[in-house]
Amino acid sequence: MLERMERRVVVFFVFFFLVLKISAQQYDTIQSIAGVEITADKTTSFSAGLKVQKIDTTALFIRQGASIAMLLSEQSPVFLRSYGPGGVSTLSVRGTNSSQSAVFWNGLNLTQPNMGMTDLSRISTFEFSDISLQSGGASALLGSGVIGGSLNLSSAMKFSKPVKTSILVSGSSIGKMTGGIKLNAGNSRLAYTGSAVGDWNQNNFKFTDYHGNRKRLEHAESKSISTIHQAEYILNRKQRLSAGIWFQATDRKIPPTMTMAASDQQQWDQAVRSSLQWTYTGVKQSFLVRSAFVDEKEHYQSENKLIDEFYHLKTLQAEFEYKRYFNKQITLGAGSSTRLIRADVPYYGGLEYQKEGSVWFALAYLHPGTGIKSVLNLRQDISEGFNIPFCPSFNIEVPVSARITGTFGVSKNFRIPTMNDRYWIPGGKPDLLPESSWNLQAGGAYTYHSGANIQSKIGIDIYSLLINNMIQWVPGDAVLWSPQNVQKVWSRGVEISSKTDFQMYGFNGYFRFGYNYTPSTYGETTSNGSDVQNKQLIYIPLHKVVETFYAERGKYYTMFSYSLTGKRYVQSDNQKSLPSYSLLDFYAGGTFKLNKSSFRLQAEIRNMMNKSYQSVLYYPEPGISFSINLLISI
Amino acid sequence: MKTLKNVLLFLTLSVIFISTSCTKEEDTSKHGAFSNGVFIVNEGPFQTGTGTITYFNPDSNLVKQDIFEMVNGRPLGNIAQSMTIYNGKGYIVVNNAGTVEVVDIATFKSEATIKNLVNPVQFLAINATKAYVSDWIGHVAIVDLVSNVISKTIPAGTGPDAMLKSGSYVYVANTGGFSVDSTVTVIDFATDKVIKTIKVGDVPSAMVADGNGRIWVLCKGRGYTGWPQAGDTPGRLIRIDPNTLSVDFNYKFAANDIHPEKLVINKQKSMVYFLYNYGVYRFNITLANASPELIRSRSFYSLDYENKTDYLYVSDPKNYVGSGIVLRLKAADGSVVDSIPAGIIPRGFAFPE
Repeated sequence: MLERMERRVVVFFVFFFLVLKISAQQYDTIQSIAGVEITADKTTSFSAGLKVQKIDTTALFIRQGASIAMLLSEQSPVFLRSYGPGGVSTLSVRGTNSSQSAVFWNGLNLTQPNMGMTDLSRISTFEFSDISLQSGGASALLGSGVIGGSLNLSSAMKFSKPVKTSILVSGSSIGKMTGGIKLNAGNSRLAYTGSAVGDWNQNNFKFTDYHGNRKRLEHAESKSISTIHQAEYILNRKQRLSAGIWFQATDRKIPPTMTMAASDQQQWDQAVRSSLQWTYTGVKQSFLVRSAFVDEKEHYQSENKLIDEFYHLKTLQAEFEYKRYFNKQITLGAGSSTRLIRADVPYYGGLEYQKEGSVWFALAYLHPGTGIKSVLNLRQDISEGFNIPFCPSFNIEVPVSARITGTFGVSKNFRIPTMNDRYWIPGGKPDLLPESSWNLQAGGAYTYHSGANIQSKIGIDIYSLLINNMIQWVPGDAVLWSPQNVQKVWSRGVEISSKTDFQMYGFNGYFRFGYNYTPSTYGETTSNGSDVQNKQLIYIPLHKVVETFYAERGKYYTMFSYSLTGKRYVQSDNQKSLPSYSLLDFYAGGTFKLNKSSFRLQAEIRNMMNKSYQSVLYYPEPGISFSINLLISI
Repeated sequence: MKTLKNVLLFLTLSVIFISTSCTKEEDTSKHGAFSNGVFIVNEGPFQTGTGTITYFNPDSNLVKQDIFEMVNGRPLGNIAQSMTIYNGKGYIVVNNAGTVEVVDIATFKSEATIKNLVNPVQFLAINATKAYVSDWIGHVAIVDLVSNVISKTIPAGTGPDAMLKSGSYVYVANTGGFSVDSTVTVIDFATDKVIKTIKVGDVPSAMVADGNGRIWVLCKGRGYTGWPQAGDTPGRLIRIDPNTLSVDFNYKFAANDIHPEKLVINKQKSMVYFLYNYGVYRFNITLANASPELIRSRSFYSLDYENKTDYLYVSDPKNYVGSGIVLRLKAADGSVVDSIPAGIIPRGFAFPE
């Protein structure tokens, strides 16, 4: 199966390069993280050389109302581990597991301190204007958990714009109803953006069970609401004040897997995240002070399993950043942050507190003659109870010619253990070591123009990522499960992306391609599982391909989105696997104007080939489904 | 124009090409006869998996993995718990699936699925037409073995688990589920009525009957081995007199934070074996002042005993997400006979009748 898959991929690339040679290439996925405006000045100034894929605004516009998880699985060659409709969906970047990538909103890390991951199935695309995926270790810049990469969510703030309102209504044949409203307003000093989105999803679809019967997925209904409000006020020419609050609640029934007869499990989550930020931006120096407060609650129930658990976590954090500019060529930065987490989790045996802090230093240099950008980041985090490694990183971006850009980076990265790892009774170990990794990466991008009609870019990245002290819950003596720093993992791979924009015969459009080859294998282990060495990590596909074709003419547009996810092993000894699957989605719509309003009506066919598949073993996913999506802009 | 054509050609070809990618792997295995074999019940991974059955023929050393799916073309279900052989049939309890799969023991072909259980743990045949299934939800379900349908339930304590039929009674050990219970429920299987609830030690988890019909109950005690906490209680080996239905022997293990598990008895009914303190221990029940004696120092997940060979079967699940192994030990001295490859988290065993 694997050999056949690899053969297909090789032939696929022959096609790919032949066509590219004749046509042209466009690639816009390698760019500076500078596009992520609100993640503070630090990331804007000290991110040269990192690989960032900004999700195309056209694709984001068409996928309004979808979850971030769905958007990424269609538009990016990273793998999303989806536990079926109603279940969580988490990000896996560069062969790492879900807890080794972080998700940021306006610079605030959304990773739950108890679980160490973020569920992307609960976050709607409707509430963000900028979504970008950074690949590769960046702990020296972004802190704990950025071993595989990070996802950044933000919304642009616009001053001096008339009030603009967007209303979204959509419905699909599997019983998913979405409604949302978004408001942008501002004058010369104040900008506001607010959004609210509600989702009622019955997940009403049938799948073929292992008796060969068509069966409806039971106990899969979910309801969620989310609202974000952000404001920024210009105090004077140099100072700004901004604030944001995000309320999110989800009530969902957890459906049975295909190997369970039924489920009565249900989960209710609520999160309130707020932040306040002051910035001073002068000619020679700038300051940033930010504070944030996060309140997260979770209630998990199953009468049949005799479970009724309530978790409550509160996080308070403060940050300070300072930057100094020299001759527009050198930027020096330094800063610190502190975080206090209070966890009320029944299995911790009482309230637990975790205190964390960090100091960092950064130096960015732009060579005026060659345009070479280089960045040195140094970071030391501290946390009560264990030592965190000192993390340096060095990245360089070299404009080789007008068309070719090269990047290179080396970094040390880390992830502190989750609070479950440290405090769970029984088994939790407060003295666990943080995970650490060395990341080496290099990339190149080639830009091509053919007149005004064709613009192409192609990028190739290679990387090697060695993770030490990876934490796994393993049974100790007498079968007591406990987290241990037992595993080494070596992930390495090749990532190829291209985008070709075209304008011809009255059509505008693009074709985007992305392919990730991700061997990620277990290394030495000190646990009782020696037969896993050199085996591929579970649920890390070796191959993933995405392709998007978009074309528009006048008011009308269409988009095809195709993805192929390769075989995933489900056992660490690689004795059992899930087959590869391919999905094709189709979108068509038109935009119509009436007075000052515009109406966009869109029809969607998802999983057009009606593939029966599972992302994670025994979690059925929907077959073909149809949706209607109306977006009104006033 | 040529450029656009090429782009479209590429898109079309690549989509067509890759869309043909998924074909089912061919199963070339053939069904074999499964008589005279030992069946190993593998739990399967906790959250997303299925239990499996490993077949082992001690005469030929033949091992076949996942025979239920191989024969029946479908997975067994989430968290396989135990298997009991009765009247030529195998009854496999699948906890999270809420089912008991009934198979022909020679062919392993599925004959029926007993449904509508909540968290079933153990199956116990009473006679040709009736069986009990302990269910963690707090009762014992009565199964009609002709129709394979649950007829009614008998209330028990919290987290009923092990069951033992001896004399006129069925003894049910109430483990407490995720909390702690300390009782054994006694059911008269002729009337299906609870006749007594006997107070034993904390977390009674396994039972055997000796040659005199006395019931030996192993109680784990409250807490986890290697994780000392306030409120821990020691394990106990308790004996119940079947005539008076009262406790007439009570051995208390020394440590509060080391907890014994599993319990089997040899064919002479003179020695019991259990897992304790990272090893396999034996306890001579014919002696007045016996104490636990280590016969094999190594941590195991499960334990069973085969009368025919006088061997102990113990399992090592390795890392719990890949395949585990089963070791056979000589009951006499704990020496290793051989090792059998198994599935994910080998938990239980079923020996030929």
